[in-house]
Amino acid sequence: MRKNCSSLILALTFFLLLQTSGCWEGREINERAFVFAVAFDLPETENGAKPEEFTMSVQIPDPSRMAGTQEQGGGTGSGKPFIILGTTTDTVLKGLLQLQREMDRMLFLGHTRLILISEEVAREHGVDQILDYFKRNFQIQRIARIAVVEGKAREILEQMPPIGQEPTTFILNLLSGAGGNSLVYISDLGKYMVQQSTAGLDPVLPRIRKSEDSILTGGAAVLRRGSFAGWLTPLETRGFNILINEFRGSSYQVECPFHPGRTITVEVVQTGAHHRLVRKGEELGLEIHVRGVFETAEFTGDHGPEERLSTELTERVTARILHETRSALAKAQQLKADILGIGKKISADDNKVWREMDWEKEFPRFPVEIKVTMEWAQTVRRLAK
Amino acid sequence: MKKETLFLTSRQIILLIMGLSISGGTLILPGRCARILGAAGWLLVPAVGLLFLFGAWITARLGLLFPGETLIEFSRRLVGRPLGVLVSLVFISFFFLILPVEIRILQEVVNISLLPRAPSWFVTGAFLLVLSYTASVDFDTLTQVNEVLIEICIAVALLVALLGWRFFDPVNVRPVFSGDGRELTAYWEEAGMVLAFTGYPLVLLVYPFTRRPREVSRATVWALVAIVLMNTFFVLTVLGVFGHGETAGQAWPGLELAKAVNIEVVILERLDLILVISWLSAIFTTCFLAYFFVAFGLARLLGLRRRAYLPWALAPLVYYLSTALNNYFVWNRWLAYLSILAVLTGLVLPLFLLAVALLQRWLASPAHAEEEKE
Repeated sequence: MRKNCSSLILALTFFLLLQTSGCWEGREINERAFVFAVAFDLPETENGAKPEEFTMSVQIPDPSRMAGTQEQGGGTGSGKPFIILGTTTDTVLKGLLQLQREMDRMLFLGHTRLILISEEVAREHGVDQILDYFKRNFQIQRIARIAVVEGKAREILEQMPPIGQEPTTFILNLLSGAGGNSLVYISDLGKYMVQQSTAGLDPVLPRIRKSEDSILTGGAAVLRRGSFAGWLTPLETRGFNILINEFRGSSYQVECPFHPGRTITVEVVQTGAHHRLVRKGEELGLEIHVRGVFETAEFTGDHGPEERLSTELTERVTARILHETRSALAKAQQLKADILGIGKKISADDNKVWREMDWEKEFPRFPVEIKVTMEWAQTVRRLAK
Repeated sequence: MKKETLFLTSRQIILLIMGLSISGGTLILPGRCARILGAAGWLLVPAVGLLFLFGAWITARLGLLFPGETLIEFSRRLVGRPLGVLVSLVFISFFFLILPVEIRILQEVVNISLLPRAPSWFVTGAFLLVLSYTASVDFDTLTQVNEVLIEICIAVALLVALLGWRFFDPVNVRPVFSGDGRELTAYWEEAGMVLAFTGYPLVLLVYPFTRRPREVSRATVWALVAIVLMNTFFVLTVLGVFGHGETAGQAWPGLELAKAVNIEVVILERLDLILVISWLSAIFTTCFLAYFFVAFGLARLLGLRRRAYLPWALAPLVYYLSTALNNYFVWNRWLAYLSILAVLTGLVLPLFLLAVALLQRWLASPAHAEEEKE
């Protein structure tokens, strides 16, 4: 009994000893500058920047002003609850060293949750090159969000959110598909790393841009060989989300079958895409069968849901889904980027064929057939107008 | 270790083998499998495991022939004193050489996850002090500490792996047979993976201290089955979550899995740190068991009455060797060399000794004596 007790004490002591390891090289919280977000842009050409250089901006929260932000109702006061530092550099680490010279606190990237890369940098330098440091640094979380910015990435960091919260969280929520409209492609550093290193799959990152006084999401950046290849529009992104089974619901407007000019808004609540390789003669192709369920949500005509609507309404919703998914596929083939992971599927299902393929050349003309079957769920609260 | 005070149960033997086998190397195992076999890397674990399952069985059968003795004693009787000492030294060396590399892995895991700039004199030195103390205490205390720590560690690893299944994509673990050729040198770089299966030779040192020697064979085989199943599940999960390309590119896929399954806003937001902390216990169990058996084996070999000071005496050498392994590539090469010793102690020598023992028994049997007379 005594020995059991001493064994337990020894084990517990060892375990507790491990928990106290944080005391080594302990740094007070007010000695750290937490970098919440990082943005990359191309430098202004008149500054004499070298071709391999880019500008790096970091957003650091200012706790003393953050407290005031809520009181002032969304940061409408004079000072912003964060500071932004920027530098021109050719590597991320060199940039951080330069920024460190301006800060009396140690820059800490363990809480970095947002990495914004401008379209120009993604095209000129490549996303993969920019992210190299973030992929290797153990401090950086795999759940850090990445987005490609249409325009200047730094401007997004400078923008205050319309309602009271700190800006990084606001952007993170936008990029997390908080609205549930499926117009945003949801990704993070970990997902990007997996996509980038998988043969037969090209990565996609969410798009973000600044309008006059707000931040807009929707759409996605398609990457090929680690660099920016082109944009998916928000509707193409929604179609893309359906094809890769990451659709989280969205509403669609279709014309009322019986009253031209009137619209019926439906909520597509659930979809599932089944991918199957098919061989027609000598030719290998892919068949994608999308099945989904929708509900009617809003009518602008003089009637509500009626049974006679069923067939034609279903056909119209099916046609919309088919159009969006085909558009997404067409854009991917046009950009020569296999964002659907068709190559990955061929590699898994028919590896012998895959090894004989030059996928980069074959993907743009690879036959893909999309079928859509939609079903009206008919959960109706009100029948009449 | 006194026979009258210690009787190991089957469960304790299983946990001892697991405690020695589950180590820092488990965190890099998925990467090794992916680099060797690509998407089908998860199949490598049961394939290699099957080979060592056979090794575990013959090791247990060998021990059963001499239930009252350890390898140190019966090897001398079987193959003569010089060869017997050599065999014993090979086993002791195997356990000893695990120590520097495991301590080096611990230093690296601590540096990359917990204390980025903590120097080796502090991490390695402090760990070695605890190890030396632990390896010099009673074996039954050690067994019970192992039971507690290894179970915590397995529970955390299973939690991480199970949470990982939210991101599991079956396409990532196919094709099963891709036929992608690899150069022989690439296999050699990953040879250290066999150490994930070779904790079982310790049974040759604990037979006299088991409650029912006949149950040891079964316990040894069950321990290996459990290790193979757990490693297969772990590797399959990592490959299914990351795909073989990403897994092969990572140095510590096990830690990356814990980072990937972090749950935002919940208390488990930094699951990777929980895994790291519990995995330090796995490295601790591997090290203190290996260290204990080094001291125990040497004491028996040299006929020393007390073995408690041996771990303290060996500590400077362990420290020197662990600091000599100054980077990932060096200690990985060390693991590859160590895998030769693992194959020797886990397969070749037990098979050889079992063959000699069976031959001697057959030669000494009455039936054979009659044949000789005729």
